[in-house]
Amino acid sequence: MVPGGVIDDLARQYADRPVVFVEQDAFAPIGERISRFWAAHTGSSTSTPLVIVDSGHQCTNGAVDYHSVYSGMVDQELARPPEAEIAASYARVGDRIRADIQLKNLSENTLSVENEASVHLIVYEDKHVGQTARIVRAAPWAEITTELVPSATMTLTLETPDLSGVDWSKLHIIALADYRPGGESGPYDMLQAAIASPVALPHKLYLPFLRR
Amino acid sequence: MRRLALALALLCLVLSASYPALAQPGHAGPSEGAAAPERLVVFEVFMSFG
Repeated sequence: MVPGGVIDDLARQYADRPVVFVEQDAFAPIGERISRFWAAHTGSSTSTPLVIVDSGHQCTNGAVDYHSVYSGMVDQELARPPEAEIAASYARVGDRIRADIQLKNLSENTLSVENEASVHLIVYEDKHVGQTARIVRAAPWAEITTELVPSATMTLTLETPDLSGVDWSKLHIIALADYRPGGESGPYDMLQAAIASPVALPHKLYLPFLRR
Repeated sequence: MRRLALALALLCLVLSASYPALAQPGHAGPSEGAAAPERLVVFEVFMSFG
């Protein structure tokens, strides 16, 4: 089976587990996510599909036994405890998504520019554009520029560019935090991710006692 | 005065009903009292669309 079909199968297989599968065009990547592949990749040759799990804590590329290799990577990550708490909410603002993210550092490391810690938003749509049915539409991100010591909490807001040609009812928003344990080299690792919840704008105010 | 108090009470009631998303926890992620926090695994694939 082609890898796209395998990934859609895996998405169904893991539907009741805390796993999200997303796809990008390798030759027109969005945001900084693909840099996590290149940071983790060590081989001399590379071919698509390029795969990272949890920001490159695991990485593979090219033709493999897709189902067993990919599910094995996911299972190993599921067994790891998170190293952060993330709470995220979002709202549609015009043609953009704006998300408020709260991050608590549960790791033993201070998160900062020194270890390239950052927070990313991944907006994906349930639509078959490339080879799977889950295409990334935006991936804004921000570096953690103020040191976040262990147990400390920070909040930030990320916003996408204008999104056009999307079905807003089929968008999903993921917030994640990652860093580079080796400092300026080596693979990144994801601390935690969370599915952002929509915050509804106020409904029409109904004030019956003011009606005449 | 009683009318004003009644109107204010009614206004508070209507406003709380009008902001349901703000009246409940609107965040995903680990909840208080959960047995053990889970990792949300993110699998990202970069394909050739050609």
